[in-house]
Amino acid sequence: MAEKSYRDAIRDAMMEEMDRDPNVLIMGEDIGVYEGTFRITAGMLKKYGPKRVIDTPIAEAGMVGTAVGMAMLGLRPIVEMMTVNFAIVAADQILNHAAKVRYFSGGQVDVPMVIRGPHGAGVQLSAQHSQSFESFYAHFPGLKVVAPGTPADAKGLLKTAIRGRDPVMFLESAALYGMKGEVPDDTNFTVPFGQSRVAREGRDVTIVSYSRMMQMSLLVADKLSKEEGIECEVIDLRTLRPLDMDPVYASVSKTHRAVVVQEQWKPFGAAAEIAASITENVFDELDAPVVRVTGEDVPMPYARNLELLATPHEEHVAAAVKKVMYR
Amino acid sequence: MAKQKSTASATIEEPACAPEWSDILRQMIFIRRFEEATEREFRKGKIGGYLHVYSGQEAVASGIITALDKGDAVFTGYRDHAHALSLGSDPKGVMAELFGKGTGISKGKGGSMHLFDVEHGFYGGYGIVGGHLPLAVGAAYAMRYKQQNGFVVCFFGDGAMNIGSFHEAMNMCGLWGKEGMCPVLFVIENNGYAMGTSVERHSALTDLAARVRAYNISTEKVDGQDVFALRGVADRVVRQMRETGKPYCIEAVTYRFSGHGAADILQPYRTKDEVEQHKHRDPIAILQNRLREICGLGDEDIKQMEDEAAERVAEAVKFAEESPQPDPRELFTDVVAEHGPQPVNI
Amino acid sequence: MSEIIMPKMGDAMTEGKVIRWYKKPGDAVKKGEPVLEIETDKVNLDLEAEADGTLGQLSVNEGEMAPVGGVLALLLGAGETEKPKEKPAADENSRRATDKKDSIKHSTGEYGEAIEMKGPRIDRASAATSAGTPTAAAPGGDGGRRRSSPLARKMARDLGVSLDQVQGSGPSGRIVASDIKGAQGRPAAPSAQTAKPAAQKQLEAKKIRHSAMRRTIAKRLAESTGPIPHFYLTVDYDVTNLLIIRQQLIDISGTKVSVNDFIVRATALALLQHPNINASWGDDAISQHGEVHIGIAVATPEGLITPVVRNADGKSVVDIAAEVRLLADKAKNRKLMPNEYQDSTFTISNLGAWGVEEFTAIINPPNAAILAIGAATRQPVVIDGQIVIRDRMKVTMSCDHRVIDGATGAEFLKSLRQYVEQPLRLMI
Repeated sequence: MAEKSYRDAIRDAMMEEMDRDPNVLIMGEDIGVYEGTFRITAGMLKKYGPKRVIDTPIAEAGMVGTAVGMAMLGLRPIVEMMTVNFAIVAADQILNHAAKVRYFSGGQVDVPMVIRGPHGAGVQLSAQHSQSFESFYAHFPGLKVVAPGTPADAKGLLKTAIRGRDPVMFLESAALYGMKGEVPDDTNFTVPFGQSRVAREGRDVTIVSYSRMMQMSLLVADKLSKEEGIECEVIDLRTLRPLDMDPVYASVSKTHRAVVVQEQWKPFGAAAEIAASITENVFDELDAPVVRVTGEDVPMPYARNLELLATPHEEHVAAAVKKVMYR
Repeated sequence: MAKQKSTASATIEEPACAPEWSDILRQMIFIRRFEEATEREFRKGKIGGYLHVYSGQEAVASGIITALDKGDAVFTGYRDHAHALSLGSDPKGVMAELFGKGTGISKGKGGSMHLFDVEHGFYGGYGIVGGHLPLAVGAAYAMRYKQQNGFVVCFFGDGAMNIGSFHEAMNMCGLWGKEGMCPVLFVIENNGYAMGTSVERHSALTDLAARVRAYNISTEKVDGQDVFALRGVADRVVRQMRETGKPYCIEAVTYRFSGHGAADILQPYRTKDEVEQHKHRDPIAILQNRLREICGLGDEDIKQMEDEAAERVAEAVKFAEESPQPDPRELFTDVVAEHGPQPVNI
Repeated sequence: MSEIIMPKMGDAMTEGKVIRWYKKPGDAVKKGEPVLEIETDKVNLDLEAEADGTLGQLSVNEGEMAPVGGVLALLLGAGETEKPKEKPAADENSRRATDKKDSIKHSTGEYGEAIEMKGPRIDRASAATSAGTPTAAAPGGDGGRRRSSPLARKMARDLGVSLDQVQGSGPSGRIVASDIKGAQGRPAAPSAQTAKPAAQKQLEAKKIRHSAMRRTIAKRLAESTGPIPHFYLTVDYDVTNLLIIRQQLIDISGTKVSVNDFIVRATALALLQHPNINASWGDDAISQHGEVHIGIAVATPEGLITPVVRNADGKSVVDIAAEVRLLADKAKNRKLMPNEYQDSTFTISNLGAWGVEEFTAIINPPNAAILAIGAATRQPVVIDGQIVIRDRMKVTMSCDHRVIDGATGAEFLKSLRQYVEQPLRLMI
């Protein structure tokens, strides 16, 4: 175990896998000579050379599409998106090609590739650079969608993504890059997909979340425990596709109340899927409607005060918890 | 710097008679009869969805693909039956795929637009115009990365040249080609129309090869109805690409005799007269005439090829008819390798 | 003789109308000559004769509809006469698409000209895996007269409390769990009886340290019977269904699939449920393995070798069949790489092909057990008081007694039975 930042955990995962398997390579805009906008790839060009650390033109469809072709021929490309916002430029390649070619070929090819990059709200990046896409990608069969909330998960889930046989959208929280936590040193440490985690135990309310909002939910849970005597159980979903709801159902069957927290917009978001699944599967356990905490339904504004109003905060989560407690 | 060549069929050395030419003729006749059968079966309602047939363009697939070796990879768009058949896919499996049967080469999950046969080097028909170009570029990079001797052929139509993925793929391939990391043979199947919009109406620059040269890729215009010309260029270029790892582009000027798809009945974008004119340059007739001259091919030989084609097509149709539908459980397989879906409906 | 059919002219066209016949029965027609005019929902067009001939009797008259693929008339060649045979107007497919009772048709253009709203149903029993979604209890209960939470209604039902007697404390007077507790005057019943979703069984690698007792058992058994104290369990499985499924799979997939390939998958799935069998004896601890790698005993001229199907629990029968064939070929040609014969966690030996009905095998260390599979034989069996002929197969498991006890082994064979005797479980 060592204390590592979320950023270093991601770099370690990639470098360990590149050391382990010569078929792993990384491509993206300004990841080599420039060493990456968020410096995730610092030092990698020097270590692995330009054939394995490829600086691409600004051409998201081109880089994702070429990665699909590489993956079909047996390589394991990692595509770094400067931010995940830019991946929608490559939507046709991700959704129509990466996600479907295994199926329409009747299973004749694997598509082992990872598309990763910073995701979600930053600080004053305004409308085109602050979005959350997890529910968008998780809608499509054929993709995996990962949203790690701790340095250890960032490393373990990324290694699973790189070693897998399917295309993975690996959504990093830009706001967590500097966050530190214990990360196992073992080069064989991985975290399997489809295993939600109880991040904090509690008897009163189940908070379901992932990524940065999961960290925020933990802070709220501690505060409510100290100040109000309310014990929240926080479930970290870790992967949205595959989605492991069993621990959520088990928790709701204990607490009878659920709050779902996401940064993205409310309509048709991940929280809607989770809330619907809870009512479909453990309806009789509910003592209150499932409540969603989400971003406001507006494009992200630039002004700092407006931006703060647009994203969910601790008070919103605390209020939602009290609402389902009828307090 | 990218170079331009123009290959009139006359510049190709007159080939000597070789048994291979009869095989190519046999293949082209078979593909024509196969496509006619798919149209018949579509009209009967046996084939669903969209159906795009290749009649008129046979020389392009046959001329290029017969020059390939095992280990090479082919990508193309949705007009893909001929490419699979030229690569050696079992016609029974291809027809069964069109019929939506479990014995189809994509297990009945792809259909006409998504034939796929990795064992024979066929990495797919794709349904989004131009979407497969980046895949071909990546595949070529992978081959060089793994130090394999193979290369990639990427077929696409003139209509694919206006979409972003075309330009992104060409630029990246031109770049990687400088390092010898992108042996893709791009083959523009310029049949004059993007669906119903003619080249003059869809491309600001009608010299299509010139648009590829803009990406530092050498090009050559070839008579797409003359399989001798195509095969001659392919033989030369293939050798050179295996060595250099650089891309190359052939613009094959061809013509499709059928409608864009089976539903394109009225064809208001061209006259019957125009189609009839082009039928005078039927690639099969051109090859037959050449082989009569250089190989002494006779009516009896051609009849024998026709009979054989008819028999193999009938066999494929019969196989497809009699094959079972895909097992319902196949609905849920091949979506992902791990953590596959569960049925959702009660 | 050829048929003039109603052609499909659009991607979703299912039927068309005959507008007029240009020719009468008995008229001579030339190839390319228009014979009739049809109308589809998009266009009217002439159908041309595909060959020279004489028009036969008309099956569809002017103004009538015909399904796609339906015969409109016959075109007779020289010297041919019409056979008066009952010809259905369409094949089953097109009839189905146009059967008004069976389908609701939308007219929404290119994509939706005839979308069948009534689809085939998926057989959930065969399609869902054993870890399907949990079924929620039926809502039922007191209905909507009083506002109440689902949990409150359930508690009221369980405790026999009438909601009419309870004052709701929630928003708009909603009765919530605490109100029911108050009414009952005692704590609510625990909700443990609710059907919980069965979590997908996941294996994890772990070591179970030897207890003093386990050590003693091991030592004593080893002293008495050699390095590995073996014991044997024999069972007799009904493989009638398995053989049927196998034949169907061969027909559908076109690949050769052996009974053993099914057994490999069945064993792998059973091992998932019995991590204590998928284990090895060590000096300090019994190692339960995190993955299921099945060794398959293959006879070669040089002797026995056991190539390994890695992670067999994640592979389909067809995949296993292909892999085993490849591995067996390599084994026979001495081409196996170390990673192709090492790390097995369990081994299967099958002498069924040699007609051996029952035998015992020696454990392949460090595995804790090996299965010896005999030949399937037809046996009379009594089922429901009737003597019927079924296919039976004897399976003997040799177990390392240091790791596995009799009952543990028997439990495993019981799980294996489910998979072998209900082979549909292997296909999901």
